[in-house]
Parts: sequence; C-alpha cells; structure tokens
Amino acid sequence: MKDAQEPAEELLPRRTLAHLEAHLAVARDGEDPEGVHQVRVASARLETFLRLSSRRALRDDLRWLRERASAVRDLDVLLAGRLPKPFAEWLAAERVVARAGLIEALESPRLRALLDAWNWVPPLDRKRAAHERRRLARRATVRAASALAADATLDAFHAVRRALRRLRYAEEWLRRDASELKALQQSLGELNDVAVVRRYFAACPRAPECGEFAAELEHELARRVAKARLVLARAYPRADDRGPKAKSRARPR
Amino acid sequence: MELFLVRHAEAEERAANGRDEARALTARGRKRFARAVAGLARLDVEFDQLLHSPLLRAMETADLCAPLVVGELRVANELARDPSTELLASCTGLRVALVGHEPWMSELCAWLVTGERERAPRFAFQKGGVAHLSGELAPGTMRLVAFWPPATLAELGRK
Repeated sequence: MKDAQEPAEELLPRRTLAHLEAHLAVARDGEDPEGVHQVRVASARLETFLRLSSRRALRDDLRWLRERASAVRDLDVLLAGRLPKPFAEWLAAERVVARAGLIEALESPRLRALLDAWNWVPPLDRKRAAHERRRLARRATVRAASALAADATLDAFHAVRRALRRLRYAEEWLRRDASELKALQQSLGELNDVAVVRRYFAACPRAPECGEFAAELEHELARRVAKARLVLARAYPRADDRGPKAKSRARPR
Repeated sequence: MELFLVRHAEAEERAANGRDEARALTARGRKRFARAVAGLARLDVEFDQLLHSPLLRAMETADLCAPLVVGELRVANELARDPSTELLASCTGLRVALVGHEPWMSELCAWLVTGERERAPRFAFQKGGVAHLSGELAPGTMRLVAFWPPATLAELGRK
C-alpha cells in the first residue's frame, strides 16, 4: 500500500464534517434514504479519525449518532428487498420507531454540542496516526483469525467486518490505497445484510406467518458465510493455521 | 449520586488559530493531570458517565479521565456556560464526572452545596482540581465530600 505524502494541514476532517452536516438535513427530511446512509458513514469515518488521534472524547457521541442512523438504514435496506408481507409490515412499523429515535437525535442539544466540539479538534499527527493504524491492522488480523476458526460464530464475522471498516477508514485518512479492504468489507457486508434480516426475523412476532422464509434465510446465510470465509482466507492466508503471534503478523495481500 | 466536578488541566495560553476554544493542554498539564487521574484510581474512583464541555482543553482533560470511565463519555454545551437545570438533567448516571471551566465549576459547586451561586469564590478550582459531591442532584442539597487540589491527587498517584 503506497503512502502518498500530504502536508499535515490536509489531515483535517473538514470535508467529512461538511459532508455530515449536509446529510443531517437530508436525513431529517427523510425523502432520500441516502441521507441516513451518509450520516452513518460520515460518523464512522470521524470515529476512526479520533482513534487515529488517540482521542476518546466525542467517540461515544459519534457512536450514538451512528447507531440511531444505523437503526433506520438497516430497515431501509431490509424493506427494499423481497420479504413476506407479514414480516415487511412488522418491519415498516419498526422503522417508524427507529426514525423517531433518529429525529430525536438530530434535534438534540447533544448533536449540536458534537458539531460545535469538532470545530476545535486538531489535525491528525501523522506519526501518531501511523502508530494507531498499525494497531488497527493488528486487530483486524486477530479478528480475521477468529472468524476463520472452525467454530466461528456470526459475531466473529461481525467483529472482523467492524475491524476492517476501521482499518479501511484509517487508510483513507492517511491517503493510502484501501481498495482491497473496501472489497473485503463489501463481501462481509453482504453476509451482514442477511445476518441483520435474520436478527429482525427472530424478533418478529409474525414470523410463523412467513412460510418457508426462515429456511430460505438459513440457506442464504450459510452460502454467504462460506463466501465470506473464502474471501477472508484469501486476504489473510496465514491467519487460520498459525499461533496467535504469527496471526498478528499476517497482513492482507 | 456521587458527582465529581473537574476543572480542565493546565492549557496553553494561546492556540495557534487564536481561538480560546482551541487551546490545548500543555505537556506539563497532561503529565500532571495523568498523575492526578492515577490518584483518583488509587481512591477507587470511577464514573459511569462523564460529561465534558466542547472546548478542546476540556475534551483533552476528559480523554485523560477515560481510564476511570466505565460507561458513557459525552459532550455537553451546558458545561461551557452558566450552570443550569438542563445540565443537571443531563446527568443520568450514579457516579458522574463533569469536566468544565471556571468560573462555572465553582458556581456549580456552590449552587449544589449551598444553593447560592454567589458563594462561588469560596469554591474556587485550581486547574486540574476535583471536587467530590454526594447526595441528591439538586441545588443546596449535595454534601461536599472532598475538594482535591491537583497536587494532592498527583501525590496519591505517584508510584
């Protein structure tokens, strides 16, 4: 991965903040689902910026905003798919609740304070950020090894997806090529999409009215787990057959 | 409720951009306050909620307090203005830390302990100083348990 040297003053989150602020209004309006999606993405990017700065302040606030946006986004994605009618009706009602939670967040003094505080966050220190990026890379490797274990659960895949997302954003903040990580994250995202459907379906009181859907879901989930394992094993070829020390040294190709 | 009022640690006199809000902690301020946090840890202090002002020096002080936080750490504009009932309503934990600035920290302390903000000069905080209050979170009802200057906490934090 090539390191493109940029002056330190470029390592500021100005564009991402402007992106977030612009999409807060779109998310609030609710007409275009892209608004909510972009609020979620920008929040995650900013959270990684703070990790690269070794800062804890504001991270919980960003996570809070991202979780509110994610609750709506997950349901938007679900409702765009082909679903049994009883399940879709229940999800639509859930979305109303999630959307109310998001609106509450968007109108809250906490969001105002979060945006105010970002005015004073200093630019990234390249040396510190590089150190933190290495930590994120090591964590992603360890998570990949866990997901590649024979007894890995869906939680392990979720954890590696999250670790890879942070690593990808870290690479992007540092102006490094993150295209391989992005592709990897996409494959794991496809698995996560089905895992989210399954999670909601398990909570749906109208699930018994949905015929063969549960079996179809399990079949699709198994197919995507297999695919995710394959993609992950290619990216982390040494992660599934070495001890923890060797695993931590493994890198995506 | 156990409430810990924290004034930010020593900050630079002037930020590069000239804005008061952007003043960062000095290296000495960080070092000393990190020791004070070690002192608080030695007293088994931990927070299930920490609120801090949006100004950089308070954010950086909150960062240093992070090892003591077992719950949520959040930003609150109410800590960068006169103490208010809105600020009190934001405190939802049982062991809460508020990281802010003078003169508001001493006004808040005086208000909660005596019910009178005017007595603030008697509760002045040094930079990095911490007050521990206990009781129901309402003006004039809290008990002042301890008022630690930063040097005392730093001494406790020494290995």
